[in-house]
Amino acid sequence: MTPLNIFELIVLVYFITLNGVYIGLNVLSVSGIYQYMQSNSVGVLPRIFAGFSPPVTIITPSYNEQSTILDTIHSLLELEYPQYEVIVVNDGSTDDTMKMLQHELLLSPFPEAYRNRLATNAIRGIYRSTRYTNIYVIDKENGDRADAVNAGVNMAHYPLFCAVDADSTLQKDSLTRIVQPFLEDPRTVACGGTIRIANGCEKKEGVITRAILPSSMWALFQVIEYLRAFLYGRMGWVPLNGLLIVSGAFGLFHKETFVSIGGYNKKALGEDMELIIRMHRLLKKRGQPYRITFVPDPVCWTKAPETFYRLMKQRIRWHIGHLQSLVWNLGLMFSKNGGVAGWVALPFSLVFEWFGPIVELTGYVVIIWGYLAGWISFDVFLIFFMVAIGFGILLSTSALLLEELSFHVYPRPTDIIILFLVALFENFGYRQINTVWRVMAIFKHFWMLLMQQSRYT
Amino acid sequence: MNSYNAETLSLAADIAIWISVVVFALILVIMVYIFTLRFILIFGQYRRDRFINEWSQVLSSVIENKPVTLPGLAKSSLQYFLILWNTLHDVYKYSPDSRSRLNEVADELDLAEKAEELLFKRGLRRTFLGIMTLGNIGDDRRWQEISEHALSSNPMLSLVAVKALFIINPGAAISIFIYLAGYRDDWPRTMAASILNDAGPEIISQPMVTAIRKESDSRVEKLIPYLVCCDPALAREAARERLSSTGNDRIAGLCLKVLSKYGKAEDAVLVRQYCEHKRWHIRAQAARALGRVGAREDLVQLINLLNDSQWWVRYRAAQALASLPFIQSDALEKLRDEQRDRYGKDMLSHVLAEKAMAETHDPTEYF
Repeated sequence: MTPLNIFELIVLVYFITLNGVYIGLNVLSVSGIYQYMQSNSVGVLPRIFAGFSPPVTIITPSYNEQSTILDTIHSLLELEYPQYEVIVVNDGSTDDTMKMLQHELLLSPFPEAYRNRLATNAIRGIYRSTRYTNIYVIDKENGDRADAVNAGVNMAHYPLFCAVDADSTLQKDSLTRIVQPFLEDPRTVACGGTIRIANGCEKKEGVITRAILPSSMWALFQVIEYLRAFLYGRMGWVPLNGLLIVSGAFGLFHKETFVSIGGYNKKALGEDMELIIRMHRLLKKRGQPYRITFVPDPVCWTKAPETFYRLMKQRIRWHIGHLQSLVWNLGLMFSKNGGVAGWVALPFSLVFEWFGPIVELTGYVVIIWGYLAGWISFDVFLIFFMVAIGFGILLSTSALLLEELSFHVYPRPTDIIILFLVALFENFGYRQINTVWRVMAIFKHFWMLLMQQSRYT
Repeated sequence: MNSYNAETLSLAADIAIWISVVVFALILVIMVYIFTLRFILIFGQYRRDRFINEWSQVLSSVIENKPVTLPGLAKSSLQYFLILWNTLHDVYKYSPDSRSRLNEVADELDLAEKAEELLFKRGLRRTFLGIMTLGNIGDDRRWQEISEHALSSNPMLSLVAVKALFIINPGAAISIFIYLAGYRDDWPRTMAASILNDAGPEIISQPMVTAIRKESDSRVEKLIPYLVCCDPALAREAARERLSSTGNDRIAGLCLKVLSKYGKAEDAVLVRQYCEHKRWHIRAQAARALGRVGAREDLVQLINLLNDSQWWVRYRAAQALASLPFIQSDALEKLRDEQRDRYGKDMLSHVLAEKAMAETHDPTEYF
């Protein structure tokens, strides 16, 4: 067996194993979503009841969001939930964000007995709206999103909090839906919801009124990607308590647990994932029973990048964040009480989502080069692409199936045809370019580690 | 060795080809299934909308006691009808005449038999509908069947069954509720409390209070939160009695919370004992309760608690001071200015600002 044959085998085994696991997650998700839809299909009992629904703090970190912040606040004011407060954290904006907040909310300085439980950059002032008395504003020195959320948590008055990005839009029942797992299981410490692409959708006063597919090809590809990532990528891990991420765009957390593990890590590029992996690691170490879960409802809409450059930057940043989160929490892997998170989810993530892009990209390059150079037969070349692309299309279409079985957010018949075509074509270029970006992220991460090392020596 | 390697490669290639074929076949099947589901959805929505339009008018006429001929009910439309019929029962839950007329329709359509059949069909949705329908029909011959579903390990199914039992016979259902609520951790309290709220404090208060007086700590911990659905005077009595006899910190905290809502001046003696408790949650609840039941002699205690090491104790103490009827805002401001402890001072400033906003912008119930 030549080295090339061995390499071909490795690549084939990689693709089949990776996609086999995803198919397994798919199967778990189908069962989970079916149960969820059945349980929630008949509204015989109210989901919320004043006095028994836990009050929630919504934290909105904002940096230079003058064009979106008021829309976000209006959408938060429309939430149908008995008791909640909103803390907008102006994270040292250099535009007119603070002015707009002053004008719209009629802010007045408020002598909050602020608790510095999580260290943050300096607070310049705390204000309360005289127009909407459940809205506060923290004006602080710039320190990035993690720092802003931590400052908001320091001030939060309620036992649960969620961080909602300033460019995200919630639905009226988002809080009602995402709070349910906390009501059903007191061990719940974190819960995420499905994030959908807002591009192209109709909005009125900050609320999505009609879901419409975006016209941009980049955004369309991301619609399918998000369906895959949320409907089975997250849902599949929930029954195993192996979920490794709750999206920063919208997630609900038990405040005291969040504070006890140190809040968001300001140095992390992917602070949302790093938090959850750290949560698994520290809570398991303490022996504290806990649950990190997910509701498949589309609870939050966010704007996706529509240009090649912005998407590339985002994906590289996300993947570096992913790598950092894994490396900084390696103590969880194969630890004594690691559970599914430590023995399955983390190793899987490390092998297939860290090293995986290198194997994948090398596979594409070697197979194509090998075929052109005559080292690889046409049969092997064809088999490789059939497996690689076939599995990709299968996973995308099964995400579409999950969507159709559950929420069918895009109601027009032509929508499903467009989504199917996108699911096909994303495997001829889009997924491969994402692989290239992830490999770039891996090299950038190694470079960052080397630079850090050289600073200490 | 070479022929072995060639065979291995050939086998691997064959496996990969078969996997690819299966994968593409699955893709085709899934897409056909998706398009079929979408077609069923669109067609189903159209049928459902037409059905709802027609039957909404029919049932509205029934509720208004107007003469109307019932259209036929196809088996395929049964679930739509049951959702509509049960929804109307919920809307008119405080109107016995309307509900009685809806039940006459149920008799004409043999709804009880159809609902019973649903209990044995697969799918939670069908079971929910079957149980709710039998509950709203109010036939106590189905009591036993529905009670069995109340014991289900599925919390939603259990709650729906309990709700149905309350509709049939609230006096008997409360015992089942208390039994189940005393051990289940998986009932969303919002939904359970809404059931009690619908039943009304006249029905639920005495049995709940009796249970809280007599049952074990582990069960009482789960029952006390439901006292807020009960008659305030009875809730207060139950909380008082349990608080004066318990050694369980969690129960003490829950009882203090009830007294902070329903307590009276004579409860102050009991509450004061907890102001120096070793657990800060208890101290915070005691401070809160003193805000309702406290007297002038409690001022010193509350001022001491302003200097507590825990934020929440300081906050509840400041709120309690702000809510005592014999202290006005200017007296509080003076108290704040006299505070030597920075944290106590900050907390009083915070609560004074909250109070000022509550007085300017109503209705605002601040905590």
